Amino acid sequence: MDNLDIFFTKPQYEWTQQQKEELFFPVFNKLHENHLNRSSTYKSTLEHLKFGFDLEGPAFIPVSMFKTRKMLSVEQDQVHKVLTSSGTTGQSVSQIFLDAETATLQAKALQVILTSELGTERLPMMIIDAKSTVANRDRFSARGAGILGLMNFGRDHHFILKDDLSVDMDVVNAFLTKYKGKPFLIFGFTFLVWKTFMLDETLPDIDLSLGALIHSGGWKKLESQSVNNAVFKSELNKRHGLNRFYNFYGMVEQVGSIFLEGTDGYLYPPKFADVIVRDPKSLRILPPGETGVIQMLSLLPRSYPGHSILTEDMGRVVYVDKGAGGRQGKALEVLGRIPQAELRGCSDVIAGAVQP
Amino acid sequence: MNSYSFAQPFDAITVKFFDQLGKKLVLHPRLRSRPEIVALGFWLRGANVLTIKGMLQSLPNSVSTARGVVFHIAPSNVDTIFVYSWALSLLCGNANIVKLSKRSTGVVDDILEIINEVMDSSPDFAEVKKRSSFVKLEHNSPEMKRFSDECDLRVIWGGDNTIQTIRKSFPIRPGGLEIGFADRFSYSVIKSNFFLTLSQEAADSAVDAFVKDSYVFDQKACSSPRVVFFVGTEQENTNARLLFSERVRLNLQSREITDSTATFKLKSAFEWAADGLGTVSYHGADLTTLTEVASSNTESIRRLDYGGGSFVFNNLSQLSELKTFIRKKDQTISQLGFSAEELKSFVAIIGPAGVERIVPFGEALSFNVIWDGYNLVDVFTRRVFCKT
Repeated sequence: MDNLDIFFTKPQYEWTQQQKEELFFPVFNKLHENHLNRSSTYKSTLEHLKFGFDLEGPAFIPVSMFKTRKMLSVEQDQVHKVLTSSGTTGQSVSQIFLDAETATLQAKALQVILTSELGTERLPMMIIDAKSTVANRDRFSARGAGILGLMNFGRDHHFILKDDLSVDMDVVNAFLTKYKGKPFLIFGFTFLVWKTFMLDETLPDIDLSLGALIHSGGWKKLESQSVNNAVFKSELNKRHGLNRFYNFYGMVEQVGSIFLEGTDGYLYPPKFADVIVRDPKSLRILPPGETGVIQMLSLLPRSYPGHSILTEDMGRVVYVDKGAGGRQGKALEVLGRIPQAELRGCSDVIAGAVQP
Repeated sequence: MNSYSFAQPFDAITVKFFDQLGKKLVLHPRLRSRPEIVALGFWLRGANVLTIKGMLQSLPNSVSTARGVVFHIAPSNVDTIFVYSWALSLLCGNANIVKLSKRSTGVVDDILEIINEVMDSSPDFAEVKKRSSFVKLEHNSPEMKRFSDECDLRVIWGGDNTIQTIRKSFPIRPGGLEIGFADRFSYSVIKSNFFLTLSQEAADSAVDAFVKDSYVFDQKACSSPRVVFFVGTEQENTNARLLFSERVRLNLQSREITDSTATFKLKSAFEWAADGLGTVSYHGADLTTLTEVASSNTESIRRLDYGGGSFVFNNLSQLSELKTFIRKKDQTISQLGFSAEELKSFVAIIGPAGVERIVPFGEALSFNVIWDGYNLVDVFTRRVFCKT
């Protein structure tokens, strides 16, 4: 197995794009070969599919395949954990099979990325979620996996939501009293953070000025309230004094390969990941500035072929090697989900949904 | 209990109403460029309705009258079906309740607007209005039960799932009649050397007709071709397939594909590839073809998820070889290049296997009063045996 040590060095955003590609792709290509050899589904799929034009750049599979196919690059008995994506009722969910090695790498990755930006001290952590989200230790949702991963980064974790996702003010007050005057971390999914700190009537104005908020999850759920990144930051600052924000972009199919927000508001891949933007129709690789569908590359997925995934998110590379605070590499802006196609089948009835 | 009113089959006012509706539909700015609306408009007009009237045979000792109250359940894939179903039933003298799909589109709304306009345009049409009710219902609403109990005929469009679910939850009365339009499967056959020897103009025309059959309703209608059989020698078939794909793509060049559809097509191509039935060629977001499928894979071919222009291309050396592929659920074969005699011989060998209609390219989606084995004029009327 390749030595990935060099990808875990700090600071995480010091390589120019060229430097990164020279180090990244030889390892990536070997990983791809490995998955072709070890996952029969992956190999068979790519072998049975021909493109009628030259498909430039690294091959990929669409993220939807994790919902429909079980894909493993190790033996079943080496599977240590199974992650599932969150899905609305009726939709199938992704199944991600982790062996011990991949799970360890993912945890290490998160650690490196976050300590790179937030320092190594394990600060007290307030989690904007319910304990029940991380209850089942063998099978996690994307949210559960995210929380568990981030928990390693903090200590004395306080879950401030009840099972019904309403605020438990006893926990909030206990935490704020205990750590008054001291720096702390806050972690939550973007929509839950907003809902809890801005919309919950039982929560008064509180002082979060010594907190650093790490959050992820996209803005779709907040679209209807006209809350975008800028509004999110300014309103939370106005009401609760929050002034340190670390938004990140990631997916359960590539846990650990998170793109952490820079001070310019754009998302940066860590050393062991990269991003490509393609035109959704022609699949041509687009230059910086042009919007297309996001393809995520990562060296972390060893037990399942998740190293090159075409997402259903639209975005663009804003600039390269020009990041604020000296950040090198591609700066990504995520613009939103591609809406599901409306190809209507004939049936108007969902089986099982009818009660006489 | 509602009081329903009825009329005589093909009464003059109803015929006049549809003639006006047919004319008005094709004047609507948003609707008139749609091929399915043009076809519908033509179908509703006086001349065509007269030929439909002719399908109501006069038999000795029998008088045709309306069936009664008809409850139609519309499908969600083809926007115009509800109009054909309702119109035919109304012409046959019935009172109608039409449950529209909740997934209905702007097209359905536009059609309804025109229907209402024409109904309100003359006091003569008050009778027509009284016999028509368009509703959108929740699946478990009390109205579902009421209309199912009260109707004399229930017509369910929408495939196996819909039929099974509704039959289980809302049975009709023992003496009532019900017809269901179940899942169907359709395909095309092309005589390779015929296609290869067509002039540029004729080939473009044929391809245009195929595209119309396949891409309208995103290939999701029961009559939309999913498999294309090329018939001829190996060489002829190979050449025809190449040329056909090229021509189809050329035809589709000006067609707008949304990012959503392109994403769906790509996902779909990967799924087909993962199934491992053959070679999937993603020509572009417009066209996906699956080739080199073993003939033993008939059932797997049928289970693929089709839509937006994904086809299985298969080779046959003779049309008769198609016999082993045919199943009861097959509906439409759209054909290019075969003579009437060849088709008649072919139908003769099919036997009870399947296939309801064989039509030329361009007519796969054309609605006909004979549909899925039913003469709908007979279904929508009732014969009273009358002897002195």
